[in-house]
Amino acid sequence: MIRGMYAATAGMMTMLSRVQTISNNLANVNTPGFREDTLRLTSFPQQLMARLFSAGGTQQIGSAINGIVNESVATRFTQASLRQTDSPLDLAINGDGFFGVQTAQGVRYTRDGSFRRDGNNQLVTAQGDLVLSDAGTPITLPPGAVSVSPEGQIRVTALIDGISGPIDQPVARIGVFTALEPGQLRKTANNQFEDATGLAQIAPQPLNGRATVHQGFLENSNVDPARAMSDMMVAQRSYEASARMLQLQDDMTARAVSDLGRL
Amino acid sequence: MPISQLVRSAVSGMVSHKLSLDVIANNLANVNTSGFKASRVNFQDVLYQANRLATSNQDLRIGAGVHPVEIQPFFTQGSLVQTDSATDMAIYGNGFFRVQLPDGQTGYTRNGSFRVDANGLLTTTDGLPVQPEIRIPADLVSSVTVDTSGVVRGERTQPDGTSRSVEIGQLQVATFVNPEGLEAVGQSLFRETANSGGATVGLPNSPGFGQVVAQALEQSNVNMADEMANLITAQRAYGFSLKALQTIDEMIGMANNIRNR
Repeated sequence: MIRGMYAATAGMMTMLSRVQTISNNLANVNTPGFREDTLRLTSFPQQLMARLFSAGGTQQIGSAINGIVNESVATRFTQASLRQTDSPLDLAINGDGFFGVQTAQGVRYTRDGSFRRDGNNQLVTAQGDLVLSDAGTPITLPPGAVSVSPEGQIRVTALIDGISGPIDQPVARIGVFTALEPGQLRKTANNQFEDATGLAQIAPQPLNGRATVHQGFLENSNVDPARAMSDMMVAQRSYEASARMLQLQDDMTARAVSDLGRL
Repeated sequence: MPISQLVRSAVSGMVSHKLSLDVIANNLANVNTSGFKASRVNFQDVLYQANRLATSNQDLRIGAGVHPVEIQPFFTQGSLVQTDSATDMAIYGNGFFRVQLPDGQTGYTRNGSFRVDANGLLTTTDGLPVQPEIRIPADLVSSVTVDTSGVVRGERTQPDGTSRSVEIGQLQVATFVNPEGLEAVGQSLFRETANSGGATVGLPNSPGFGQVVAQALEQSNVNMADEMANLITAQRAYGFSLKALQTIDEMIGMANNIRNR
């Protein structure tokens, strides 16, 4: 009896966690480069059940599962659609890979390419973290109009003097970092990921058609709101069912305690 | 899992998308304000709490929602419209007009709808003097012209009846490494910040600086169609978070009512 109550409670607890995960996804439906999380659940270890006091002493009658538990959070790294912004320092990756940024805590990886210049002419994120080139170094942009090719080559066109007209010069190539496997990346915050292994195996790779960089675009969040809403409805009903189970078992226990005692 | 943690991500979504709606509403309200620059809100996800699992030594990282990281103005060129006023001017290209704020500091604006005050000073419509000071003699007010390099001239009638062009002053423009880092202070005015970098002051139409277009005003750079699309997106996003909050509330309510019969 009590075992069933715990199973029902475990069901309620995991469904709350699932709804919280979905709620976080929905809150980030407009966050550029956001990657959707899914909560993976697993059953509690099976338990061998035995009947006592049977003819031949204890008799095994099979196994039962005592509820459900959170296992892990998996991030879905699928490509999201690109949205045109026309801002020259908004960049989006179509394909594999991440932009690399230098933070106070070390190198982080992001799909959010809403970059800008800081007061020192360097390419930075909204936080002011330095964006890294394919050589793993910060990118300094001289004053002038910035263009970024699909291969990630950054060029700046500027009037050097009043005589020779605008001069177009290559500045750097933006780094597109690739993890060996998606599970290597762990979310931190600020649209960034860290290397969960700590092995620093995530390095800038030549694009070679694996990905293209788009200037004047931002990548949307890859949260599918319709699916998130239906997942949330399922989780809510599942929670409701567990709550009913708990209620039922509470009633049964109450009957056992009060009515049986009256006999 | 505490209730506060449960509702936080949904509430953060509502607060953030509400801010987005506010900014879009402000952009739309200023669709006809000369020199106005559209802004957008940039979002980021929030710290992931590492809930240690009892059944393994793995962390369960569930996000705590979203937060607005900044309101970013966009300094793309607005279109120029012709006006009849000799003291209306627009910058085509890079740069800002410099004006003196009431506290003595320098403000920067793209709104060149200037006028001449009682003392002959060239000022903004709010009476803030243009920097460096340009004092227009009373007899030249009616004949003021500005060329693309920002030289202000007037025609002075000579005793013999002919008129001669007189140079009155020179307009200057300021550029910034990162204009998006400027702080908007209202009345189409901006202040420099550590983020924007210091102002580089120069002559209009010189390398790196835009040219002055006389008898014209720069229109707002708000794109109506884009803003309407953003409005719908932000409104829907708000709705999703609201729905998530309602669901969580109902679930907590169910837990509350298990023994309420």
